[in-house]
Amino acid sequence: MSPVLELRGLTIEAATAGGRHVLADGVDLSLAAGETLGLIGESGSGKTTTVRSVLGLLDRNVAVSAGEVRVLGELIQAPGVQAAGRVRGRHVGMVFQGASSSLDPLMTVRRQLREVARTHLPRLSRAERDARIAGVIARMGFTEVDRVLDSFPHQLSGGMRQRIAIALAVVTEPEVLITDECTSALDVTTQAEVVGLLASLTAASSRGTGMGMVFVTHDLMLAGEICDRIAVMYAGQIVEVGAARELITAPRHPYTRALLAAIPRWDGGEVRAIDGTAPRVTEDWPGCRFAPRCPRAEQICRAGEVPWAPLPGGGRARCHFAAGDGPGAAVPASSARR
Amino acid sequence: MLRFLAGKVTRGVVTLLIAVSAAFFLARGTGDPVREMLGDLAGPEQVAQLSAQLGLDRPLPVQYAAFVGDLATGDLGTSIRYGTPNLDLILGWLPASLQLAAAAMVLAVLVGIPLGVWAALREGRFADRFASTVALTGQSIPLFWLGLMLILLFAVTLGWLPAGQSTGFSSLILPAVTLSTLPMAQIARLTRSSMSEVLGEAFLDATRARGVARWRVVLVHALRNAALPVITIIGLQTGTLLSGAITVEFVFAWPGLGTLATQAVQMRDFSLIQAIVIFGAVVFVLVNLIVDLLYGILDPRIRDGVA
Repeated sequence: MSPVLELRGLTIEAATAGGRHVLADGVDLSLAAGETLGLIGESGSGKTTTVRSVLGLLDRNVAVSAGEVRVLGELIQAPGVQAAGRVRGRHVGMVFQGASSSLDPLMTVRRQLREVARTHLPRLSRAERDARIAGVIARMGFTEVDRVLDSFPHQLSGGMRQRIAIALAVVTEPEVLITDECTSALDVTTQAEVVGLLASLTAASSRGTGMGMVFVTHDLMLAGEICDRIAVMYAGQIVEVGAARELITAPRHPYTRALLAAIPRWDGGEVRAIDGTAPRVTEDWPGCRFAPRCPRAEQICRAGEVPWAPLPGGGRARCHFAAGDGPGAAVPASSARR
Repeated sequence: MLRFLAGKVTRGVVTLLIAVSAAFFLARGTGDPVREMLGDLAGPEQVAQLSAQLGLDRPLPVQYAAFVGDLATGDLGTSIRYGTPNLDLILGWLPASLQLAAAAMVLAVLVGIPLGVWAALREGRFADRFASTVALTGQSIPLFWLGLMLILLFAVTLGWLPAGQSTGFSSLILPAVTLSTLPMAQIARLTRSSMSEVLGEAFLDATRARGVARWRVVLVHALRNAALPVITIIGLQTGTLLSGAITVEFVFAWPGLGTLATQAVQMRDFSLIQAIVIFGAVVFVLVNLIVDLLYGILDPRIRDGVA
């Protein structure tokens, strides 16, 4: 089955006073219908830039310099190609981090939903669109549908606002839903609520509409809970991709391992921060980007482009030692939480 | 919302009281109207007689109390010069002022808001610099000079438009253009700064991500959110324009309140001066009250008292 969203060699650069910065470097990702793909990385790793580029929401000085993005097989981003308008809201929905800052403060929820519905579902009658709107609000777990629809954003709580933002993204039943740190600003219980809602949306749609989801987060454990596959991003590059369970129980890239080791653990195990900071990639960077911070880096790591190593579970990692017999395999997988 | 309104009304009443008092005392600083009316040849008895007739021989506090008492019953007094009720005079001269102010404000809004939006969308580029130049010029150009230059060009040299007086639509153009420059400049500047602030807000990206057309994002979502300060300045300027565009009316011999006020000052008709100032203050307070009401309508957060 062809992917609903496909990024091939996507490279994004920012022109700044200090020269050209590579924000995303040759990113390959594909999302199948009904699949949930986690995109993990520290802030500044390029994950947000990568997903925002899909909808053409890059800053003025930032542009795709190589590679392409396809949605449902159609080319929408490439150097000199900007066709995001064809899929925005209709085929690709997006939910952002700041729940309160993704809604127009001067419009009721109903008007904002109607605006989106009118834009994308012009063939439906007004009554049909209103029925669709009431339906999507009910699906978001609201019981007092009319009261919510007639509310202004400031009259709702943060968790409610984020569920409204999700409703706005899915009311058109898009094939792809991108959520960018959409639970990070919420407290823990609300976060669980929203994650549960997202999981139910993709679960329901994998039988029905087949909505795929890209779940961007810095929280590896959270991603492990709702994602089918996870891609780990570091300094603009994907460094490891694999099935969620596999990646968390048997991480192969040293950076993935370091991320897991940096998670505070309930059993009192040692928390290890990663030494150093992620580099800002300004020009051609020979070799592995993680090498300066990697405890197992060797000469070969700094020498040149690191090839992808296929992993036993079907994933791949950008590490010379990922296959398991090198120094990279030294840390046992049991150091992960599960 | 009711408490919000009550507060605004109270503030409006206090503003009016201050304006009324200022009008009363300042008008008495313009000179003796009795002497002006009777001329230099009048004897002391005549002066005393007229002063008594006008009630000007009483002590100031008594005059003040009577004045405020009359106002409270809606009596704006009688013109010393014309001998007719001030209110009738004002209402007679008001339509020309209304017409001019409305035309100028419509022009200012129609030019100022698009100019400000355009500048905000092209921040730091040519359009932005062009718009700030226009705004700065509009704000600093002396109105009497601009009026005279426009008359010279369009009335004298080209002969396209009448130079003055109210003789139909074509006579409205030059004074309206002249009068619109200041509010236009302020509206453009405020629209630009307010818009450029709102354009950086994340909810606009989110709205675009939902596939809403760019023009709707800018003109419906961004502009509406940027509108509050712009509406404030439109309100303030409307009050100013209505209560007399003295310079412009003078240059174009426009038969409005500004001209009536100029004459009243020349005649030391301080009953009429007071009445015009008070009328202006009432208009100003009313317009601001309307603006405050609009705030509540436009921004639900203000209505709910959370912002």
